[in-house]
Amino acid sequence: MRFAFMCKKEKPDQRVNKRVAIIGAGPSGLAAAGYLACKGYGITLYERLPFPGGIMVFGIPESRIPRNRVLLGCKELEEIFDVEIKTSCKVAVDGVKILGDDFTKETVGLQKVVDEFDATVIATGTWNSRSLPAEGSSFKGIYSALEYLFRSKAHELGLMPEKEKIKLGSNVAVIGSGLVAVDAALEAVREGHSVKLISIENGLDAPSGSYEINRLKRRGVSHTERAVIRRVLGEGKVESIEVISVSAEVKGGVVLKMEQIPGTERIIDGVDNIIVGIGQIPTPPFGKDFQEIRTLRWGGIEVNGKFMSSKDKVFATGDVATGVSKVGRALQTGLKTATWVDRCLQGTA
Amino acid sequence: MTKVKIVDMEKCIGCEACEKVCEFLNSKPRAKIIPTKDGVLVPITCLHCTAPVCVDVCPTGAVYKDAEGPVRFRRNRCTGCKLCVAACPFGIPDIDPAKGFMTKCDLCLERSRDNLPPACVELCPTGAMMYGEYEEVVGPSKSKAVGLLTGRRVIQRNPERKPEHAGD
Repeated sequence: MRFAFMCKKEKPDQRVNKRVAIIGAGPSGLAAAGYLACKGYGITLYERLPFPGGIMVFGIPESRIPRNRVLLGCKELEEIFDVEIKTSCKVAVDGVKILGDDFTKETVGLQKVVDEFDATVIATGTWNSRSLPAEGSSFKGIYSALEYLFRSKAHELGLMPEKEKIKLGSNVAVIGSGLVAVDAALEAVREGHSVKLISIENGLDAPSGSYEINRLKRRGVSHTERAVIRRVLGEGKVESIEVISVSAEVKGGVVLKMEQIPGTERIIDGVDNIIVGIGQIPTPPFGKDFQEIRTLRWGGIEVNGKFMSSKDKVFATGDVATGVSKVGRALQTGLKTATWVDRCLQGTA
Repeated sequence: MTKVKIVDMEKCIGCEACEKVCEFLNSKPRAKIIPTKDGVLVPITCLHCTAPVCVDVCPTGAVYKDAEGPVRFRRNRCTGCKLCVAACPFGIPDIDPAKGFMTKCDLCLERSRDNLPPACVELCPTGAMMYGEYEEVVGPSKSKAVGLLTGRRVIQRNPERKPEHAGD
């Protein structure tokens, strides 16, 4: 992937004497970095994980996106466009915890970065997962789909020993039918587990699309559609689950209305693990009580039409500003934000 | 030296990168991800036909087949008659709503002057969008099938391969 696709494979002649910090080297952060690097800005990318690429390298399975294409694009940014990629370096207000923080070696305060650069772009994505809205959701053996994928990817990259991977039992229930849930189910099948997919959506209105659901079925996954988990049963650890059928109205992958149908409760025995993939939550580099940058009710950073946050010199882009999206849309918002950063710093916005 | 662009559907994951980067550059995307009746997400964009009907029906010669391969258009000759829109079997040509003239994928004409591949090819995360000389693009896809049949090629995604970027 050439993130610096806006220009030729050589350093731009005109350098701009301004520096931009980008927090998070995922699709949107890298796209913004590439655009601004082509314009001649000095770019520093902060990435809390040991490699750039974000979800493309640490979440989405290798069979979908080959990481080398992503990493080669990052290498070009570094070597030709002098973009500084600081890996294992997290920028955050003190005390903010996100999945994958074990790999962070250095933490820099957000204010320090904002002060040091002419503009700061927050592109930290949606790394927290929605937890299971059911009784017994704190039992052992319940994992988020993203954490499961993240750990298996970290192991694949040689960053995590085998024993730190999530070990699943033979029968796994995956909740949700979005792409994260589907990828987790595929990974579990690949590891040889017997997988049951449970979702409110049916095969036709699943947010990941009917093709992905059918592909899972062909690999032996059973799909319980129009159902939710009511209770997790067991003694501190998942043993069985109680599901109930629901009637639901789903449009564009979003559940508009849902009602449980009384009398359809049933218990599925012999479930060893539950993997929850029912949505991702934005992870801005600050906590809930941080007042300087306004957030919206769903947790995303509030931005105006120019992707500016409520704090001076600070922009936000990608999923942390728009909500969960596919790689393509994250790339596009990154590019759009970069055009506004450029215009603001040139004084033409 | 005719250049072609084809999509390897074995690699495409429907992430919309091509559509969204095209929209960024051209305000209306000239490539669009469309689900087939089986739900497979396919990027639909101009196929730059060898015998393009849109060129045949254009009364002013605004749409033309470039020597390089792509079907391109000259804005200043377009009358906005929409004949090309109706003629294309894939419904590719579009009318720019603001200006009323035809617009379509031209495989990034501006970029080709700098010898750069189209933007959708550059930002495709999977490498499904392939662009280049006919033999160089189609060759690998064709030999892939032969390789599978003869057993010379095994599908392997190289999970053990270390990233080239590794270090520090």
